[in-house]
Amino acid sequence: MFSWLWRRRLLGRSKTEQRRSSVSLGVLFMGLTAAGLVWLGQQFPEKVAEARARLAGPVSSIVAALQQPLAPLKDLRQRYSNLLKLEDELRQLRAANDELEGWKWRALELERRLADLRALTRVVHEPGVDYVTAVVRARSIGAESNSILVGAGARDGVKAGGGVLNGRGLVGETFEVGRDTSRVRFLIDANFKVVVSIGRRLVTAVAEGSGGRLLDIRDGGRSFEIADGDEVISAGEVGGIPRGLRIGKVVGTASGLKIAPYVDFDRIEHVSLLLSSERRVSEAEVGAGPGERARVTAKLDENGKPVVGGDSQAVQSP
Amino acid sequence: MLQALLPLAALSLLTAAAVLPWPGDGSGLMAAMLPVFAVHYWALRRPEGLPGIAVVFSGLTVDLLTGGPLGFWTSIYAGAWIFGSLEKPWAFSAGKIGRWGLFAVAAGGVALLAIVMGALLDWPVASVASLIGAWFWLVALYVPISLLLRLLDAGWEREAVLE
Repeated sequence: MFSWLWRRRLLGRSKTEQRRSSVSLGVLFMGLTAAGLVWLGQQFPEKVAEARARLAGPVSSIVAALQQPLAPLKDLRQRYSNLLKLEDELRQLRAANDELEGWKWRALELERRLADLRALTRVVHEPGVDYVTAVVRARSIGAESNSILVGAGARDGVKAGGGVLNGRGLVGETFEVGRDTSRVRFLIDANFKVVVSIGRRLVTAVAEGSGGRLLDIRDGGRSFEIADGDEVISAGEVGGIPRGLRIGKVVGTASGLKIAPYVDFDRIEHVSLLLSSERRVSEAEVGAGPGERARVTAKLDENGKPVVGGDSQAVQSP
Repeated sequence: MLQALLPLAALSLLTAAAVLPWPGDGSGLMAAMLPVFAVHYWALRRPEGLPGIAVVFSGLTVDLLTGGPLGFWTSIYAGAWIFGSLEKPWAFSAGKIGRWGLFAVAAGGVALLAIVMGALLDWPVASVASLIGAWFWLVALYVPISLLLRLLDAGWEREAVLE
């Protein structure tokens, strides 16, 4: 009845009037839909986050298929971007190499001494940490939001609050864990906090994301023992980020000492998500995920990097 | 048939590009603005080829995958569609340079909408300087992208003359 009346009303008008009506309707529909969605997001944030975690997996799989033709374009952009940074990095690497040569003999000597001491003290070795490596599917957009969506979720054993790292160090922690995807909050996100050990004296402090490029340091009153250039590693939390993961270096700024993370958050393509220590990968689970996931059971060294060889085992699903 | 599906195909491809983790600082904002090209292009020329619901789905996909507040990118793309629809009466008579100008106005409106929505939702999408930079690039990129879309969508101007 309504549609009949509507059609009759439209038919009775000129073509220009009809077009105007249709545009007005479209504008009304778009405006109301957008406003309605914003209202829903503001009124029911928890339900929206839950639905987002559930839907992100299937939607990102569809989008990933559409992204295939764009891969060469992305590579081109990546190469151009890399080229610009290459010259500067080369200069820095040469300087670092000269310095490292000097430190090499010292490290070898310390390694020998450490082996002797270990033999004397019978240190108990800690169990290895399981992790899955996943590809970055999407990145957040926003001046103060720093997160990525990665292709590994609860099915792979990922839990909220777990540590996430790449070759350079700690990237952040997981939240909004869906079945096949998880969202990773970067170190620099304003909602991120981690207990850290700073410098040779291992000063315990809390590093907090500021929304900018550096992390703030909330120390326990021993800030006089922290100096520019000190290494920062994770101090370890029960059920959270384990001890010893590289985070960054202390840098002096006009507003005091801050932490500059090692990770380049603009160039993250793959990340490793640490799994809870009680979980072990069963044979049946291996290879169950999409091809882009690699499930790895390995030990991490004291810098948070996977130990190559030894008892590590890597399985790439087909 | 293919021509009929072109608006949806282009919007889908640009939406996929919008959520791709592009390297480089600020590239995320630029990428998220890519669907604005397709939305405005067809809202201006052939709105029946790009239904509003497709624009809403495109925005929802970007909202869902980029972790921003629900409805943010939907509103931005809806804004581009509304600008395109309102500018439609001048689409043909304006000529090529005029249409470029119409897009510049729409892109400016969309950037302004992003600032206003960011302030309302307490979620600043980018600094004002970054948004001005994004607007500049959008306007500059309009020329090659619209040329490409025009090549694929050949015949629009002929139909417009007949109309």
